[in-house]
Amino acid sequence: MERKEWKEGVSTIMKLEIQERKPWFAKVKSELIHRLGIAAVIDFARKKSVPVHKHSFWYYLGGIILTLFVIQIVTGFLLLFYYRPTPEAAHESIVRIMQEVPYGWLIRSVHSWSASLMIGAVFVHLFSTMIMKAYRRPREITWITGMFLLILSLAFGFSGYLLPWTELSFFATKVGTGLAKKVPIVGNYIFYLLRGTENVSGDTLIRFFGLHVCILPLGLGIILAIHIWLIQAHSMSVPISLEQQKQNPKKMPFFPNFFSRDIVSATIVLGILITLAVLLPKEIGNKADPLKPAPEGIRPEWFFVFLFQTLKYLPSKILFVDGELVGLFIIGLGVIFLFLVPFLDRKSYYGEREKLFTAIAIILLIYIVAFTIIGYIPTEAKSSVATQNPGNVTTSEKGNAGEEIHPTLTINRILGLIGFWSILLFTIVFLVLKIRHYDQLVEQGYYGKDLE
Amino acid sequence: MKLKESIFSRRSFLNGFLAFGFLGLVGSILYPIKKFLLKGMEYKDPPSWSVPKEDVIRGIEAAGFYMFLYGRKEAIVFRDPRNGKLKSFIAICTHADCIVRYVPTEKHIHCACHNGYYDLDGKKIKGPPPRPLTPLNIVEEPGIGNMVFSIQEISG
Repeated sequence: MERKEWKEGVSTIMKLEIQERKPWFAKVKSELIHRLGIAAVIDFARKKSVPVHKHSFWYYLGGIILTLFVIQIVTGFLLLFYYRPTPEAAHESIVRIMQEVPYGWLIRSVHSWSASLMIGAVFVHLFSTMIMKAYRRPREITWITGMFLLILSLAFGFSGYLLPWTELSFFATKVGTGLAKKVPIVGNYIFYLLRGTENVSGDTLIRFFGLHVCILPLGLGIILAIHIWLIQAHSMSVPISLEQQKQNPKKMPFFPNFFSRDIVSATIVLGILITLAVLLPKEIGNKADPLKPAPEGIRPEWFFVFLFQTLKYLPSKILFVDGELVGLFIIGLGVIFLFLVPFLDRKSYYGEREKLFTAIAIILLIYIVAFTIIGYIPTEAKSSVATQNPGNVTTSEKGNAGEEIHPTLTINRILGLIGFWSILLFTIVFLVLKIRHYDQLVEQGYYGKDLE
Repeated sequence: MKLKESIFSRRSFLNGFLAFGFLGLVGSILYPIKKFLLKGMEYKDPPSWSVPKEDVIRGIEAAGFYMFLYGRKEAIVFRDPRNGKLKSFIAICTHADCIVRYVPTEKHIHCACHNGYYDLDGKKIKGPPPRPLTPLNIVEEPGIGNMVFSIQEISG
């Protein structure tokens, strides 16, 4: 008996010694994992693997969008410290951010560029998912949450556009909210809910501000969490064409192999973003004057241009119905169709190749790209009116492009950019080395058991 | 438990009341919120609106037209080149809520948002507007007084 107790005592001491030898952070980590009960979460995250095939590139888009969204949150928080959401002070506070506050120009330009890139990436994500039929069983709800995320992203763009209170954003908001009024039954409610009053005013600005910085982030955060949870639960979808070949494609553990690649794409996105912000900083624009006619060439943010252009082509009356109403109806049907794609596409549901929905996706993509481009071609009517009546237009109206105060591109900014890129490339080199190490571990069968 | 002769069981009867209570509760919470958010819906156009005559005349001399808020709606006033009388409309384009302008050189009213054109009586010439502009009546007070604008009922 004594001997056994002595043996146990020795083994306990040895165990304690082994624990002692662990560095302090490892101990803290293991204690925290124990206390927070997140072992299950870590296991869950580890379980995921990413199929490796010729279309794997599209799996990076989610990570890129997430990166851009995080950048939006950070730069948005920073802008909150100087921005003032009233019609009297909003534009002035933007001028101050752009001209007085150190790096204000950079943070606002990054916020604006990141928004554009994020919405662009969201659209690419939508179409790549649609063409690869990644929405098919069992990922229908992932697709639906994705559609909600698209709409929320557009709402972010729409509400954020008004905040600088410039002429263009003022009229874009006027048109956008004015259209809402034409929706039957609920239109009037949406109209007053958005504008607050009859016209676009301070009430509208503060509502849009509240939406942009509180309500939409909360909503998007919740739906994003569900979206990511579902992706984690179902893992990545493999295109039907590869699935039909019966041989399972190679797989890569999500963590750390794919995750470290995600970090590389995030770093590259950051580099592109900073470059765009330095070389093409966001313009300030003229302050909105509610008592001024709409300036020439008013246009919404680029991601709404295709809708704006569509409405332009509709005649004022289609069979006794307002053209606008028909347009809104078609757009509404389009959105409902997109929501229902996973349920309408029966062939993909049974794992067969479906050319029709690929065709629909491509046609939709061509329509969006073409109408966006057309929206940016100046029409003859516009330019002729602009040149014919220079007399009655006040100077600030005329000089939409010319008179804006552009932040200057100084030598310091260029040098800063070069410095930033050197650090970025340095980091990427070491990340790539890390990835090679992780991949070797996979080849050696280190993660073998988990990759089923 | 449900008696043979009763339609509901005691439990479903009580659950019904509970559901009714909850519905009422939700409604009584949502109603003030709806009212709070939609305060703007109480707005009605004022029957008339006064603007100093001097401002109007000076504005027209400077830019060819003058803009003011009629209540909460943007309005435009300009001189009709055909008879020299003042003309006024609610300046909100009937198409998509943009603000129109009077173009003296072309003698028409133009909305730059989607290229809608109206004639000097506010009727559509070209472009997407579905309805004519809402005209305003002008009554000039004698002397250096105000101009009183009021909404005209459009017939037809």
